Amino acid sequence: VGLKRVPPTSAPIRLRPVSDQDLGPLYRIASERPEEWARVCHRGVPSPAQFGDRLWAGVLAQFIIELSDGVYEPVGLVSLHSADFANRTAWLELVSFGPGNQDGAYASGLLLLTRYAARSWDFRKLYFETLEFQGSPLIGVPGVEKEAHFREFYYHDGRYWDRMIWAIDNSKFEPESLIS
Amino acid sequence: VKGLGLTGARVSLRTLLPEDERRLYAEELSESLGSRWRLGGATPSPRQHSASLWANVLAQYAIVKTRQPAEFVGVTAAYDADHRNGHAWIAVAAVAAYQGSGLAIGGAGLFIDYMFHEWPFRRLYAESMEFSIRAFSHASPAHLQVVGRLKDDRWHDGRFHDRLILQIERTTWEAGMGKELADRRRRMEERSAPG
Repeated sequence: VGLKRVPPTSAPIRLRPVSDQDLGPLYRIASERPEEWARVCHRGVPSPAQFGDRLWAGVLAQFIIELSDGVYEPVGLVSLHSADFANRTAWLELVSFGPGNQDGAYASGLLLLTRYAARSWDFRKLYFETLEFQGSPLIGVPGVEKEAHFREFYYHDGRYWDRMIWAIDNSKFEPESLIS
Repeated sequence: VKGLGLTGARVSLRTLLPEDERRLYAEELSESLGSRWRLGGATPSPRQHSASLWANVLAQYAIVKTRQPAEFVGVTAAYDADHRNGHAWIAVAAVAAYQGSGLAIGGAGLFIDYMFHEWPFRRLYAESMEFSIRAFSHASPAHLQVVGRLKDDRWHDGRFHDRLILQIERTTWEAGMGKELADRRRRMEERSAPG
């Protein structure tokens, strides 16, 4: 699903810092849908005591995406992590809070984070990974290319699924022009 | 060679000893290899280097020449094992004296046999920078499949280079090794049999 088909939402949206009050709801997502949160759950769901450390391990910046329908409500989490300043790369991650289709909000949240990253640091490339059943609103956007494809990498729901690594080339990717 | 008992015709695997770690430290910080290996030019303390050598490691062995005096050729390791999904990452490195000799790749072959023998991994992955991929010319291409190329990922020697992700599939490996692998495993079992 690309941004051409899932445009950024036109509803008011914002990124806000993660607070202590978010840890409970975020832990519930990790417990219920670990397959969608590789960074935190790739070695299994952490204990509640470990969760806070795992949530922030290697993180450069992360925010709650909030969408307004009169009142701002959290719909997802976007993170910038595993920064390699020597080689000017970092990794992006999106965790949707679901249920409900908020692809436009996720697209907007990711674009706001990439713009934040571009204004804050001189990264050349941003990577993100997806599992076959996940997709990403950034796939199909100019400047976003698949650079690795691991067949049958992750076991979930009775079968193995592929894992892909995608790269955003910041010389070709223009979040400013995509943000309405 | 005392220890694991994984012995090939030209190279063998044995336990990685403290003196090997000191040798690797000197090699990794040397002018010839310093910027090519994983440190990329950094010079950690000996203690930090040792810790990084064992971080998330499942198994690690020294590669030595089988013929006495069993000279140290390099090191091979498996790390970031994901038993749930049936895969792990492996690495191999040769010291400067054996760069391009194919001996370290021979040791990696023994190690891959060992990994597939000891654990039910479906496949193994490895990373290589494009400027190091020549080392794998001694390996059979049928066993190594490139599943990823992270373009211009890492700086080395004045420009950015691609990082390659390689895959070794158990079924392909075992089919390719065939009788040689079966014979080697039989010898391993004979050596490890009591009495």
